[in-house]
Amino acid sequence: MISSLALALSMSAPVDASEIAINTNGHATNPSWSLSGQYLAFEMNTFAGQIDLFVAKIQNGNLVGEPQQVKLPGASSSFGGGGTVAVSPQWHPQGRLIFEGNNKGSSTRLFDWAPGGSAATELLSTAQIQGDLAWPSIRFDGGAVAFTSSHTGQGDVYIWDRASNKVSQAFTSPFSESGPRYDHASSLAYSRKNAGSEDIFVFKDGKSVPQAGGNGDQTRPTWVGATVVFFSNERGDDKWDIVTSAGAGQKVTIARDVRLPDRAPPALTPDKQWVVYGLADPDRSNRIVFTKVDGSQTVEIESELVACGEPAIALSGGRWFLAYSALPSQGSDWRRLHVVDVTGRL
Amino acid sequence: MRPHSFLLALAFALFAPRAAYAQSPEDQAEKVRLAEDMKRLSRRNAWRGVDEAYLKLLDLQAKGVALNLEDHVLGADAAIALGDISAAYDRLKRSTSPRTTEDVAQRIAAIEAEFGSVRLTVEPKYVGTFELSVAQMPFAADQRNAITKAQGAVAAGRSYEGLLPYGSYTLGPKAFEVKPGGGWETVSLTAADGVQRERGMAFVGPRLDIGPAFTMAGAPSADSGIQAEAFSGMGGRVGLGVQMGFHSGFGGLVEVGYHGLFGGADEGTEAFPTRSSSLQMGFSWLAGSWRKGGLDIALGPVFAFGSARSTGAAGGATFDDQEFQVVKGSIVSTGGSMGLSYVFMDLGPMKAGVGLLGGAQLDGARMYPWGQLGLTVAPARREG
Repeated sequence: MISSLALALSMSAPVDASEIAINTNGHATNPSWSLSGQYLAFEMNTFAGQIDLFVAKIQNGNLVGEPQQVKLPGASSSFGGGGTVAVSPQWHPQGRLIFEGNNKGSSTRLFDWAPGGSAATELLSTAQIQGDLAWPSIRFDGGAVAFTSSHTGQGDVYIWDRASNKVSQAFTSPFSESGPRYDHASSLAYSRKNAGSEDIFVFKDGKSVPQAGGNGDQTRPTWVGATVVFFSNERGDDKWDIVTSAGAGQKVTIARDVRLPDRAPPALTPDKQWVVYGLADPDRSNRIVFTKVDGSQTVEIESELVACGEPAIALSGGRWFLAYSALPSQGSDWRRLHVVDVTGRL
Repeated sequence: MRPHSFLLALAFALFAPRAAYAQSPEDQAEKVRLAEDMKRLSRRNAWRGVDEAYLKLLDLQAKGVALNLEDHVLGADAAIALGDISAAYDRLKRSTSPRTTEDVAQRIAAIEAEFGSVRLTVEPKYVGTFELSVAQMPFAADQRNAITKAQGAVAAGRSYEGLLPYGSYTLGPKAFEVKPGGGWETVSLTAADGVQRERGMAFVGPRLDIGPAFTMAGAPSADSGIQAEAFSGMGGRVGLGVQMGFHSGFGGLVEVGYHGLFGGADEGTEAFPTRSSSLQMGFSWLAGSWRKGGLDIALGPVFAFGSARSTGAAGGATFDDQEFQVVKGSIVSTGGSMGLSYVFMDLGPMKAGVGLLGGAQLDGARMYPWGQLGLTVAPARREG
């Protein structure tokens, strides 16, 4: 499969990407487009215990105004104190942003925020679900959110139903689960920690079944139709591949030695035909790579930047915009976010 | 400044009332402590504690202590977390005077862009359900919390005044919309909106109370001449009559029946063999009744008459072997009776259940208290 990729590989000429200018220190990571392609949420991480979440308004691939910081309640004024963490942005179909957040020393909870100034609010109260909450995934119709809670001492998958405003545990298991992700209906793919490594499972029709296992970690699943796409380091701790699984026990590696994003699952194009990633090889880190989900074709888009990674693509006004983080070849220690129009480049 | 002006100014400075703007060092210290508490608690998402501290700060503000913009903003954060968007709005508004920030202004604008004011009341005379429902539960947590808060207020206190997210709602049978620019939306459920109370007769039919009864014939009064000694024993009581009731629950019944006692006695001598004590009465019972669900309570006067026979005389002059003397006589008594029944089994147009009845009658000589546990069959309530 990998050898056939080489035949189908094509190289795109370097493109100019516009930087999302932001007047704060930190590495820009984990970009997430709103479904309209109008907003781009991303994290700013100084790797000093504080991670801030920003939302930039994007028009025709360009930043409009300044990115707005999404603040946790209690941190919305000058005395909020340091050490807050706001990460893992996920967009609701109605334009609201769900993310994980915590103040220093407090539990991690899920928060809800909308562009335009309203303060972030806890999505679920402790009366509804206790523990540290993480890995939010919003169902396609916005009617439910799956997430994990440490309430029982390990990660269990829970589902909040919007209509009833009730939280229920999806299933019980003696293992620790993480990264639940909805498909186009109501099935969930997730990873389960077992004997020190992670395997991919699917929860469908009330039953949880193994999908893909192996050496090392199979983690951060997402969906393309009925196929699960995930990262795997089966070949070694630092060797991350992108693997697809069309059914229980089936695995096809479609990309090797990819740059593992901070938190995100494999990025997909809006038509779900391509998986998008950066490369771990420093000599080839000046490009973002697109590989067809069936592995039949790969396209690389070069840039003038290095350490390209954390890609995310949106459809806006009939055009595809790629956001990714990268370092300039010289002169900066912080990875910044860049946006480029890749319409017609694949 | 001329000397008299200086003295006037000094006198004013020394003696002018300052209470309105004074803040004692203690109050100021308490303000600092509460503000620090709010910060600390907010970092732990302990919003109820933040809210309580903010309310104490408002007390201090009333005493002249100035609050910071940040105090009000944290108070608003707490109110939002607790679902009280109306309080959050008020607190953000407080923070805008005398100065504001872009952040606060944005937050106020966001609330005004998403919420409208409503005044919901359910009058006491309204009969029926009055649940507050929203056509589609919003996704936003602050909006959901506001709806949940309003639902709780309506359920507990039959009213809510404050903010609700824009959308379609129903309060009991009434639908209403909260719309941008709509001003106060006032919805009131009156008696006319509710289910009309049913009027008239809810049931009428035969009633039966039957079962074993324990009856006592108390000690005769001292001035009643020669009378039988006190006696008691098991027997039976059966009453058959008619009961009716209104939809309000109130009604009445009339029963006639038999009330008997078959008591034993000590062995006597050859000359005075003992005879069993007995009491045979007919009775009539007229009672008011009240029915709620399966519970039926009846209370009213009883008239009973009959005869009794017992061994052992008492009262009046003493004589030999009076304890073996058979005493017979008639009884004409009046008193009262109460019935407590729970009818739960359907018997066609009737309901059956257990009945606990008791009462007491008096004749000229003694009291006859009694109790009965048995079966009650009563007419079922008509629906609709």
